[in-house]
Amino acid sequence: MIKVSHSESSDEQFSFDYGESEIELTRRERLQDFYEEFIRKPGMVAWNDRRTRIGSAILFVYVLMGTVGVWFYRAPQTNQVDVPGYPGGRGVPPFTDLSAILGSTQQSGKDILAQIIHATPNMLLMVLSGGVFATVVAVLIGTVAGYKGGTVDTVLTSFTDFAMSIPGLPLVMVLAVVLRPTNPLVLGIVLMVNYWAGLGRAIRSEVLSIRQESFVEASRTMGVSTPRILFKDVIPNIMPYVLVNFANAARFVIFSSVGLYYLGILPAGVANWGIQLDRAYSQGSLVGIAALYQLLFPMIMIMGLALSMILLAQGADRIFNPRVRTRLAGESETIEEEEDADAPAGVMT
Amino acid sequence: MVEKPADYREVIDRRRFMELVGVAGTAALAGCGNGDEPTDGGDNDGNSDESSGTDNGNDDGAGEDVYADVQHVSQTGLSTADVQWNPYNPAGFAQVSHEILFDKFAYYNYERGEFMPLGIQNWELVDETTYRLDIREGLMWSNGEDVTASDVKLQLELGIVIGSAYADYVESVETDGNRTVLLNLTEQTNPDILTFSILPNEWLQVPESVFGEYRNSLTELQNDFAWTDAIASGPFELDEKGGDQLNTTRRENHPDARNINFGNYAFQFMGENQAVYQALQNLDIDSAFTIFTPPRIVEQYPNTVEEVATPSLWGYGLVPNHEGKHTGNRAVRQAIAFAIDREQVVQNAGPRSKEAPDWLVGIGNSSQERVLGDSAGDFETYGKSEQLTDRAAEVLEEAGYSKDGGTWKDDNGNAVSLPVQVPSGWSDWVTAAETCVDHLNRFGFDAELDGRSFSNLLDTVWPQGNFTLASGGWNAGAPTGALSYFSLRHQLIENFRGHSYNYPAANESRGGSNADVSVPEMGDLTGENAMTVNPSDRLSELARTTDESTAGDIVLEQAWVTNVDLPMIPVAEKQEQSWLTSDEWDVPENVGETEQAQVHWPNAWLPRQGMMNYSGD
Repeated sequence: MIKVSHSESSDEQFSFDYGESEIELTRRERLQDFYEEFIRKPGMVAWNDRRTRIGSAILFVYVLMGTVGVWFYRAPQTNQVDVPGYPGGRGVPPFTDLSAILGSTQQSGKDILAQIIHATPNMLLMVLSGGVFATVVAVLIGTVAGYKGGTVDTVLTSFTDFAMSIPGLPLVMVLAVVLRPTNPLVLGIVLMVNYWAGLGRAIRSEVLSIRQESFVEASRTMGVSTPRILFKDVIPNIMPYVLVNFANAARFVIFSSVGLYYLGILPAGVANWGIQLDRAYSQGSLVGIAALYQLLFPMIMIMGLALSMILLAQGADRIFNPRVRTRLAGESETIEEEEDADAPAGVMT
Repeated sequence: MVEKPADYREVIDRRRFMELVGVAGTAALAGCGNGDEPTDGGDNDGNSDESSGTDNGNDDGAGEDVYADVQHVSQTGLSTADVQWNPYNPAGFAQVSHEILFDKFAYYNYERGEFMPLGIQNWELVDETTYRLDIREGLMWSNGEDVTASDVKLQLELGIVIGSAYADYVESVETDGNRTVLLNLTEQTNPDILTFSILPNEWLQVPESVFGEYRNSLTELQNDFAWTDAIASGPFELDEKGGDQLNTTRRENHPDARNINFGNYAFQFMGENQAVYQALQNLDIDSAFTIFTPPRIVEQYPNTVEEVATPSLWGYGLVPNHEGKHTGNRAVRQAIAFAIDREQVVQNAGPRSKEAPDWLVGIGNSSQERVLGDSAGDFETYGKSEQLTDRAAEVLEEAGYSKDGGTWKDDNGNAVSLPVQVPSGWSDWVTAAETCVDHLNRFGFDAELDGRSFSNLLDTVWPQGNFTLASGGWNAGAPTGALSYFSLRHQLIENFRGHSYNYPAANESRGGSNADVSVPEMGDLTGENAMTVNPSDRLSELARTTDESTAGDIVLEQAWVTNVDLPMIPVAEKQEQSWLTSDEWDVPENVGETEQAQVHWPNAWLPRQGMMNYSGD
């Protein structure tokens, strides 16, 4: 992993703490700085990577489906497809009629595209809340434990170990039955209820080595407060790792939610690709190939979203690579573009 | 993971049967008298052959060899490693194999509407309070002992102690000779009630030599004793079990063995219907007991896979909570019934295996026309194949509801919210529930699907009455559901799934208090309440009366109560789908249409009749 050395960065470039800056900046300049540092440069770096472009494009399609799509495309309903020769709209094969381009379900005549589109918003919300929850908790606990050491470390690490020792899937299943979460934001958190522990442990290890770095030592010597050291020196250094793991966590949310919906453990009143898979399977889509499409489309949707997460994670890694970043931002002409070797391959597995 | 697993338990598990038939009563339907011998021709005194490989006495195949090595492979949904055959201990009790290992007292033939004798050859009411059962001649246990009256006496006595369906009518059991058992009744009871509660639910599977010691230790019998080395009374005996397959071998000293020309009958464990679909498609198995199969799958089966559809006398319905804010209101229940297009539900959930009931009454679909007779016109159909939204709106408005912003609201402005619970693993029920939800929403209710695991629903949600609209079976199941007494009782007094639906007339165990019910005069759905009846008392009366006209009147009256008050809302009635194969097996042509096959289950009954034998290919 590449460590971002903050010795290269000046306060003017990276600091948000404008009150302490000796240089007075206008509001406009501050916004410009912010845009430059946090949007344009990372954006350029990321966009320069093909994986990010593809990943973003895929994710954009999902976001579009989850926002605009649900407004423009009808909600799934039984017997909603009206294609001559298919009574009740049942079992229309894909690409036979424009009114239901992906076909309709064998049993209840539901438009498959409608099911797919209307499952997207909840899935995105779930991914977001689950990913953010797991990452934030892991980063907070991991960094504080790793940086502070001593009793704080012992307590937090013990708590993390405890959380890790609980079997995740049965716990989630029990919680799902007891809480019956229908709100996707809550569901995302429930699914990740102890996922953060492993990540927190790993982050703690990272922080343990970073706290020995000279720039952290320097900050400590200068009397900088612990939260500030954590936010300015430590967390930026573990960001690539965190971001990659955010994407992994997001994938975990996708797979586990689909899995639990498939198993019928989560409340089935909503649209979800897992439910679609379950219905297709139990209606015998695996017998013969004529009804395979019912399984295929939700699977493609699941794989697509997971793929976009992986690609974005790989691309995001480059944002935090200072050499690539400065070069692409036009501030350095000399550094060779980093290749895949920079990617923290170990954490992607 | 479709309706089948639990459905299957429902039909196979004798405990369930016992629960569903309940207390004493009688029925208006004609029952079954004495039967003929189960096999045509030939003697019945046991084995006519000296050894395998000799001629058998099969009507169809006299002179043919017995193929000792040939194995008929069927399927079971229960892990064969854990299976045991103590019927009083539900843990691991055989799902299907007991049909082959033991002789059922009698099989109910749905086509004939009568019982076909098997283990019990003759049954009759000998005087007002004595009911007699005669054991078939020549029956022996696989350990060489005779099946005697004391075996059956013990079995019935154990049944009385554990509260089987007949326990309320039978005071004591005694033997009369070696083959006859006499049941002393508590009071005069219509024999149909006894017949239906005993014959189809009991197998000759309680040898006194094994179960005698548990006579006085019921707890041990019901909880601890796992009978893993079953002693058979049927035409096949236990060979080996383990892995995924249970093997049985033909018993030459069984009277029906002469009708069977193959040596082995095996059950392969298949946990999911998908596995059975695949196995039948590839002809990997030779028969399947009851498997819900969507039409598209059926179309893909080879021609040699033959379907036998039999009535199940139950099916998908909605069970309203009568203490629910809105579902406690008769008008809302009627509006729900009007708003659902039952034919559409059936077309979605399984047109091949389901049919929409003509009238919404507590009487099985096939009996409705006969039972309602000339009064049928007075009964409301609630629109079998259309959404009668105008009628629904009419009854709601009369009850003070109004439509606001596309949603029906009560006079306090509360939207009529109707979560529809359904076991999430039962795919055909889920489809039915989804369709109902859409119909209710289209009409303007605020309905949504609430899928949960079946065990969660059965163990906690339903008994506690935590539902607004639960998906539940609206009839008592086969074959008891064929009797109006049982089907009405299921809806009005005590449903077999333990739904605490708080219907006032129901038993306390179902949330009721056997209260009176007031309904309009027959034929006037929304009229003033002009008739107050007590369904519990009336059904008890029905159980005791021997006067057909009185019985008919009570049935009509209570059917009207179910029609207008809708304690349950019937939606579909299903058929059981059993599967036979004819590539290697001689089964009657068009076996699905064959009268003899109209039993539960054909692949256990037909071999005994010489109608499912190895073809020799």
